[in-house]
Amino acid sequence: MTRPQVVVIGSGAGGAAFAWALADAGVQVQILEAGPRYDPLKDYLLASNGWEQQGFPAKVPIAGRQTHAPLQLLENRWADLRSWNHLTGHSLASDRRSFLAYNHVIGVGGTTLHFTGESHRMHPLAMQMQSRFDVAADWPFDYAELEPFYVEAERLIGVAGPSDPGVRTRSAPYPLPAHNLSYASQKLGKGCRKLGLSWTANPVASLSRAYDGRPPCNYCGNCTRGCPRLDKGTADLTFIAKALATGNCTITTGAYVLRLLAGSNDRVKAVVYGSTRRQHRVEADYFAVACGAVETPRLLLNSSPAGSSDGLANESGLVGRNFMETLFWASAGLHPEPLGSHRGLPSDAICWDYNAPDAIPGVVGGCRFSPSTAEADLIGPINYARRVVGGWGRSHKTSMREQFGRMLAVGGIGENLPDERSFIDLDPNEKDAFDLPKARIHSHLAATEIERLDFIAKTCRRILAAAGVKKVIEEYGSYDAFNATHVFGTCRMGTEAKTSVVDSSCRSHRWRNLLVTDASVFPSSGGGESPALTISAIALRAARKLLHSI
Amino acid sequence: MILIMLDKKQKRRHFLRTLVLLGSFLPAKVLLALPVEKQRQAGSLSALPAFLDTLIPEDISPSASQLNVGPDLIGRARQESGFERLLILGCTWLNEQSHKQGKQLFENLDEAARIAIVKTAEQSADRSLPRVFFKAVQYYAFEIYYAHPESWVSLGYIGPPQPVGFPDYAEPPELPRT
Ligand SMILES: Cc1cc2nc3c(=O)[nH]c(=O)nc-3n(C[C@H](O)[C@H](O)[C@H](O)COP(=O)(O)OP(=O)(O)OC[C@H]3O[C@@H](n4cnc5c(N)ncnc54)[C@H](O)[C@@H]3O)c2cc1C
Ligand code: SF4
Repeated sequence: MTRPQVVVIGSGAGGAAFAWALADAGVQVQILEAGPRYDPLKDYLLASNGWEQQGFPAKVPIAGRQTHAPLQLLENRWADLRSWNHLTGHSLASDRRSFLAYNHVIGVGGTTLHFTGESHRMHPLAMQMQSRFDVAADWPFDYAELEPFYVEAERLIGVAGPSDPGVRTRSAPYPLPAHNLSYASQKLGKGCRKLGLSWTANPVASLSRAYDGRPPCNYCGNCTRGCPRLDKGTADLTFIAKALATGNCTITTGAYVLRLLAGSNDRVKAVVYGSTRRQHRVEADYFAVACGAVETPRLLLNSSPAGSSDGLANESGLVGRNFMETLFWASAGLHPEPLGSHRGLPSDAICWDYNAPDAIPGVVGGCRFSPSTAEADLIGPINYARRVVGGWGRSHKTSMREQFGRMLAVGGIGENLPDERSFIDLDPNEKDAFDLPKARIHSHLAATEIERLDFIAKTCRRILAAAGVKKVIEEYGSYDAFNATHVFGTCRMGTEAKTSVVDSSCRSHRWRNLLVTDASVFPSSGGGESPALTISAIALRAARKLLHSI
Repeated sequence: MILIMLDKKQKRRHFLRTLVLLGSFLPAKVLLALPVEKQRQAGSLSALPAFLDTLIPEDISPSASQLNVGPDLIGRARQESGFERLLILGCTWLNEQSHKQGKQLFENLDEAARIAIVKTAEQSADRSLPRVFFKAVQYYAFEIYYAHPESWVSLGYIGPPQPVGFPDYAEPPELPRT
């Protein structure tokens, strides 16, 4: 390909879907991806005996890619929300919230390589948080407008989900039937029913039947370590593979984009990327930034047009603002019966009962609950020995035999409302290998967020107890640790140029050939919905809108 | 999704931080002053296999030594000089304790006597040498031992997760083979 029509920066949930939709329509697309390719068969070591010793096998280390400002002091009144383990006490000794990680992947497919595969649609009311509840911002379109793109994304990914749509009305069924619940999830379901709560199959990107040349899932439970079976619908295996197959799309790996170059007439003219310390320039008609909600604002802030120091597309001053993170809690305990709880999909069931923005008593913003035993990494003997059983000698070995397979964890994720103290800016002191300021993460949990988290924690404990768990072994959450997996909001989309960075088609209000097509555009986080499907649906919609201009 | 990553980070940092404090202990002070090569000669790791087998003894499943945990642990420790020093100091401490009891090496004690010394290490003050040594070896020994399929059989764990997966995931688990 000589000169692409569209350059897409980043190949995660947003960039990949966007690139596919354009390439499929005959547009010449070049994807610039900072990271390498992953080969699921070689890189994901779930068939090796040492599988449990490593998490996701990151080829590009993420520690130190971003910095963070000091986090807030912890308060005694929320002592119940500290992370702890029954053998080791408080997991984090500091009297301040600790920064653990912004969990993401640098590679073809982005963070979907590491994701659990939950494939959620937004609750329709969670897209109207400003007009209905006077918080966050409204989405510039409604659920009905996004619905066809959800259908398309689900079809391309191969989502398996239940037939009852609940409040998320559907124009077509899921492409694949829901998975059966694991034996352990059935126990949690019994607990939920005792409490009068629902517990249904969770829509996931793991195949319940062979689909699109990929085999069905075999329930190994390790989606977050990378799926070597190729059934998990990651962006590299779905959107990227299909985009490349059109012949209209190329991908350049190891292409770390350093800046966008602004031209005349409010148009971006080129991007500059670095690879092994050489710099390259690519010109195109349109540019889509999809580096994730932390690196996208950084790239824009590092791309100030001549005569400005505010960054590119930052006329509203909102690039980097409205940063939203993952508000989560998990409680894990020992069930009296053998469950074989290391088996099955990590998050195969869900309780949506508190997902509506007004469902939690006294706090605006919803949440949801799902099994968390695998995500808590309580599915292998090493973690049992260290975190559950402890001890040593003969009694340790006997207890390992009694307890292995009996851990049961339930987790909740909730809405995270924007707060002026949570944002991304450029670190004035720390630079990367190309001498560019790193992104600095500022995170603050306001009292309302902690109250929502408190509700989530209490409900997790109730579900666990109702499921028969007598002894809680470990709990952890975002009160004392920033450990985000879902991040959003830093280039908000909206109808007004003053109050948003991009318009409803994800195009900069001023720089019309510049788009943002990743989680940065979310005006609100949703009530705990996992975001990847929505990110892809928004990107598909943005691509269709752009086709009218190309 | 919800992700746990507290455990590893915390533990590692804790061990290494504590190691710095160990400089105030004798004979730690003397040993730490020496270069690693000299420490290797001065201190012996001969007590390590017996210590590991006290932590993970043979019963219906193999002991730590039977699954080669010692050499693996030492190999790992050699990549991190702080950790190797800790092992040398810890083994020296084990032998000192056993000498106090009957003037013999830790590895020559009977199981009851070894258990008594390991208990002392476990119950020592939080940042003391025996306690840090105990915690570090326990932590890594579990990791190495439970990465061996031979250690999984009696747990009823039929891993690794792939290539077979767990097709019986929706049923009650089969009872472990004992
Ligand atoms: C452990 C874990 C589990 C998760 N589970 C779920 C789940 O079950 N369901 C769900 O919906 N979501 C889940 N998520 C979140 C989900 O993966 C992300 O929300 C989603 O992938 C974000 O999409 P994105 O396009 O915004 O960014 P990403 O997917 O992070 O993609 C960004 C891309 O940009 C590239 N990039 C960054 N900077 C540059 C640069 N300067 N130049 C070129 N390329 C660059 C990166 O390499 C990457 O490929 C999970 C996340 C984690 C970490
Ligand atoms: S549970 Fe299924 S989707 Fe997840 S890694 Fe295993 S085989 Fe892949």
